[in-house]
Amino acid sequence: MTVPLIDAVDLTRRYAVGPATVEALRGATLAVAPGEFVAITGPSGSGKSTLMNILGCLDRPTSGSYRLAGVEVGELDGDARAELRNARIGFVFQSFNLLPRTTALENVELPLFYGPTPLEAQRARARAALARVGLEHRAGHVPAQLSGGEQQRVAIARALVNDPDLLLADEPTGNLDSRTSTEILATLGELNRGQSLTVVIVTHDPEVAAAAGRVVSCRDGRIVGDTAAGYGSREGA
Amino acid sequence: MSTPASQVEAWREARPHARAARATARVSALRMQKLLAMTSRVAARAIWRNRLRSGLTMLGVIIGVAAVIAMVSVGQGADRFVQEQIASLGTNLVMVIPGAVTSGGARSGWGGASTLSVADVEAIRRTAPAVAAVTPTRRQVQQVIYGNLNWSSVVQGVSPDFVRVRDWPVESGSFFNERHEKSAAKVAVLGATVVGNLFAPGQDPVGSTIRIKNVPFRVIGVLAAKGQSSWGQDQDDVVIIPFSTAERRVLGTQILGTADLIYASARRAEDVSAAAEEITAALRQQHRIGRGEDDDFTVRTLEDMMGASAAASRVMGNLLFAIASISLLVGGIGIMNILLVSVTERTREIGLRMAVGAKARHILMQFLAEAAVLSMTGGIIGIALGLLVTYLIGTIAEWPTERSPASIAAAFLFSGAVGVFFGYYPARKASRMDPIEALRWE
Repeated sequence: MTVPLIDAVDLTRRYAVGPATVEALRGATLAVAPGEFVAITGPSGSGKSTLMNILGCLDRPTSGSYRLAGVEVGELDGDARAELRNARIGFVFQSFNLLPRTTALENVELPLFYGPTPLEAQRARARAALARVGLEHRAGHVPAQLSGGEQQRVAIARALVNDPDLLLADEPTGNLDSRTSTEILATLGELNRGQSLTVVIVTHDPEVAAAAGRVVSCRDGRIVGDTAAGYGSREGA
Repeated sequence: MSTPASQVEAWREARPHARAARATARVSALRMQKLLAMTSRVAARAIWRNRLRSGLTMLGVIIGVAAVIAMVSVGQGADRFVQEQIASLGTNLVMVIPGAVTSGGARSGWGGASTLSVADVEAIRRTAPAVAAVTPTRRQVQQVIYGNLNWSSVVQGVSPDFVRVRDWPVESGSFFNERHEKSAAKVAVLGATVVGNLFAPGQDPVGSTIRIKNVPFRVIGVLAAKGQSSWGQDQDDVVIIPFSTAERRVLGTQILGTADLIYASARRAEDVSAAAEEITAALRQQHRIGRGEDDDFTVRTLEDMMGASAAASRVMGNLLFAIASISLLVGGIGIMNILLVSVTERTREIGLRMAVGAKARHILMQFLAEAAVLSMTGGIIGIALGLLVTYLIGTIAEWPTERSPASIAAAFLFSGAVGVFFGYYPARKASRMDPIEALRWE
């Protein structure tokens, strides 16, 4: 069996909200192998966003172990996690989060600022990433001149520019109409199949989840269902 | 189990394009260079996008820096002017003025009474070792006649020491000597203005005869031109004759041996205050002034006299300094305020940058760069404005000004420092944001 890319064991996450403590995760265990296309679903408050933040190395679990490609994330400080995100993870957000009044090409270039790519090579890399989502002809346009679907594809190109191991998409179709949603999901599917990129989508929409090869359901901070249970799963271990 | 650091190293190793980044300092220097280039570009663009806002924010720094430049130029110009004045009067000069007399409760100041005498001069010569030379002076405005021309000038009777005391060289001919003084010889040394008004251009006055109050004087020398004194008096409009001649033949006096003024010079510039003290002591003894009584004379050094004229420009300088400090402070607060607004506005951008790999120090650097670019641009505009104001003060108000490259450099660096100082708080606030919260911010 291959070494899992994502290896999360018994994750918990507690927040202090005023005097009260909110338990967002209560022992979630999840393993994802390289090249998988996984959808994490669940109603709001199920802990799926918290799980996604931890998987994206934006947050650390209160307890439990999360290893990304063998690296124990819980022990890394902010700077080390920033480096890890820069090199290994591409993010796609519901609201695209493109910089306004900045061209598509420059938006895609953004993660390269903080990485080791030499200045001269940045343009070419960003252009190549735009080509991967079929938007090289829109490189000079600013977000306001692009359609929602195009904006989201620019965001996907930005996520791809550093050749990540993991693409994390948080409700990537939440702001799009159904036809565009299908296109975006198709793009993600192609990246997954054609270039064996590991894709994890967080969504509450069963239709979106259906595009993935594996669906993990969350409820009350636990993982309650996994259509590919047994595949890398540690339940009962 | 390996340490996290070595694990990070391990995944770096595994990545082909990251491998090049590892190790060598050259690469990390290049990376730093790249980040600096990127941050300043982003900063310049952010400022350009909010041109009006940025311009208004810079205003405080612009006015502050302009005020500093103008202040230093005017201050240094005034200082230089005073220095030149002191040098033109004779650097080591000490003046004794009669007056500040109290007679029956009525006090008078400057020249209120003829309390100085030739005997005082002798006393100073005897008892003041810091004094190099000393001369009594009698002065009166008289009509000076040469041929069919006449000119009203200050006729001064002095001793031969005058040239040394005033550090005033003779340009042609010679000054009178002890022999002339003893014999009350009718000889005169002319100032440049008098020469210009009585003699044709190119004519050498030495050897010709002028008349003062119908007394014929032989011109034996011409003094080098000195120009205006700091109080606007033409120092060259003067006719110098021996003291004894003045007393007995020209100016006349009720009591022989009184002096209008005493000029003395200290041996060295450092001795000026010592000389002044010695002169005071000598004259107090000579005039039998008891302990606790007021002097009936005033001892002035050039620094005292220049103090008054320097004071005006100093007041102006202080005023500008106050404006400059307040403007820079207000400008700095303005920068801080606008940066706080900018940080809030760009919360999502900060969150996004963090998500794609920006470390806290990158965010800190980005906003510090923005503050520094903002304030240094203000600094450059302020320097230009300051130079313009200096030029206007110099030409319209005709004040002496002097541009100082050091103050320009200092103003520029200081404006940058203001930006970094006041930008630090907003930048730190930005760098400490939680990426999750920042991304969710509406």
